[in-house]
Amino acid sequence: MNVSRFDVVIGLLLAPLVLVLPLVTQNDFYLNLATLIMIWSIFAVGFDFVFGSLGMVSFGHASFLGIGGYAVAIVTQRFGLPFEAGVALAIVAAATCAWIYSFFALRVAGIFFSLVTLALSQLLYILADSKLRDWTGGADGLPGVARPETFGIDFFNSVHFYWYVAAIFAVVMVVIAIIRTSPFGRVVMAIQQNELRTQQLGYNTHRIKQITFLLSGAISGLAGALLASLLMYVNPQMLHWSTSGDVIIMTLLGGAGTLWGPVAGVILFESLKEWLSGWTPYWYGILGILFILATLYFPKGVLGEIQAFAGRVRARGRKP
Amino acid sequence: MTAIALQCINVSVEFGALRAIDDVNYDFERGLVYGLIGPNGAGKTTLLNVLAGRLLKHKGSVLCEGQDMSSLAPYQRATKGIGRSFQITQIYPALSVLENLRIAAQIKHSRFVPFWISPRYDRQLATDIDAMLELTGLTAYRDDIAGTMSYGLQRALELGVTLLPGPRILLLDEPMAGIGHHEIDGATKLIQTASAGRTVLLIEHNMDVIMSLSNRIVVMSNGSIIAQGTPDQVKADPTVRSVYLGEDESQ
Repeated sequence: MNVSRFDVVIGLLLAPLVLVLPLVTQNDFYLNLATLIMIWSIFAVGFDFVFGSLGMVSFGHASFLGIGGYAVAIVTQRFGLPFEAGVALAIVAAATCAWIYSFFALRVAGIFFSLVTLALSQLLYILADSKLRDWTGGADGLPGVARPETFGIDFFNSVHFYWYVAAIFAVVMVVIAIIRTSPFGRVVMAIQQNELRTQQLGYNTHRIKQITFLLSGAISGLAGALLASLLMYVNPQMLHWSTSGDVIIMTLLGGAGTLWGPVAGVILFESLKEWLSGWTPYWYGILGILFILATLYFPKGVLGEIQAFAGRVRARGRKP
Repeated sequence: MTAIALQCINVSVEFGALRAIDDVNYDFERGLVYGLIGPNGAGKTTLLNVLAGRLLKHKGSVLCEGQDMSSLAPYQRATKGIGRSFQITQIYPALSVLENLRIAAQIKHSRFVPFWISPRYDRQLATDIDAMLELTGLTAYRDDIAGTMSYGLQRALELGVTLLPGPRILLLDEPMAGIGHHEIDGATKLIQTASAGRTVLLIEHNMDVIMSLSNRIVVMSNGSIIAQGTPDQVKADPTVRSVYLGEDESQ
């Protein structure tokens, strides 16, 4: 099984848009929104590796995003290391955190897995918010998070930072596409469908779940580092359970368990948020209603439904 | 290499007050097909679960080729060469036949599951998969979604998935349960082919089938082995006739 034609087509449709946008507009608002969407997409795609592929609802992914953000802030500010070293450490720190969570959370399944991840992530939120104030700045957070300085380019310029994030986004999507269709990715999806059978074939399903969780955490940590850099600010909100909730909503909205679904969800969510919050303070409520309608009428997510439809059309073409 | 493939030593299983398996001692010789028969609740599936590692809370010990494996998890026993099929079909219903078999074939090729797509790796798998499609008669259905196929085809796929990792010992729990009459001959032949060169424990309620497939019949009742021997010996055994065969004919 190679990367499906549907996924390649979506990628080829999206690539020119990403490439053309900075040529069409130099407007900081649109560029920053597009950068934000790409960063959240990295987070959502990483999250979906556990949620959609493995089929486990983690309610603690805010931890990995937040740890990534704090890691890059602390490493660059306290230790004066370059931005890239901060990103590398953010990935390692988030992956380590995911590994530690997995020891507790993977002992249980279903709703209890969600509850354990929620409890652990709220614990981290409280620590960052108050107990570790000396390191995290408490509720005030850490302002002035660095931007990259690679090759002496000024990444405080929105266009330049847009390209930086776009390059990483492209690499992440290619890597995820490869892993999803690799032998490892197949086993991850096999565990979701029938763990009993997968064990009986000889796969150490517990270990594979742990590795999946770790990979997902690492990608989330990368997104967290980039998010902190974009906002030039990190605060405990990134660790809050509502951040975990947002990524679940986005992924479901777009289509869990598909390559581009989480990305579509982020685009929808962030665009609607920008648009709705422009004319009403109750935008979250309206988003909530839209989300309920979407889960009722597009249970596979917007992109998931399109993919299913395309599959039906192809199948009809094959069997006249 | 010992001539004993599987060994049960003083194995007992209790579910609360119920003794599902009561002090079973038995040696399963390499290369033979053992038919497990007995009334419902006799402990046949429980014994298979003990051997496959799905039931670790038992007394006594189970040995695989002379090595104690009592505390090994199911996946560890699978890598030691124990394959298991289930009474209730355990396949990947939303995946195609090909994808089902591919997941099963992968485990034979590498203990480490690669994170990248390698055409060479997939070609290696393809050879095994094509042979299994041929054996199970599923070649024409390779792209069908497993869950949408007829029950008989799903049972054939279950066996294919069980066989692909290349087990030396097969635990088959009612491989023909629920399949149509016209499919029985084909399924019998398939199990016969699959059994060649393997040690097989087979649970099956169709007496004609089990008597023709097995080298040895093991009769269980209330958690104990009450008789064993060649099919002819067992058929002639008066205790067996009263406990099991008589009952079965009246059903």
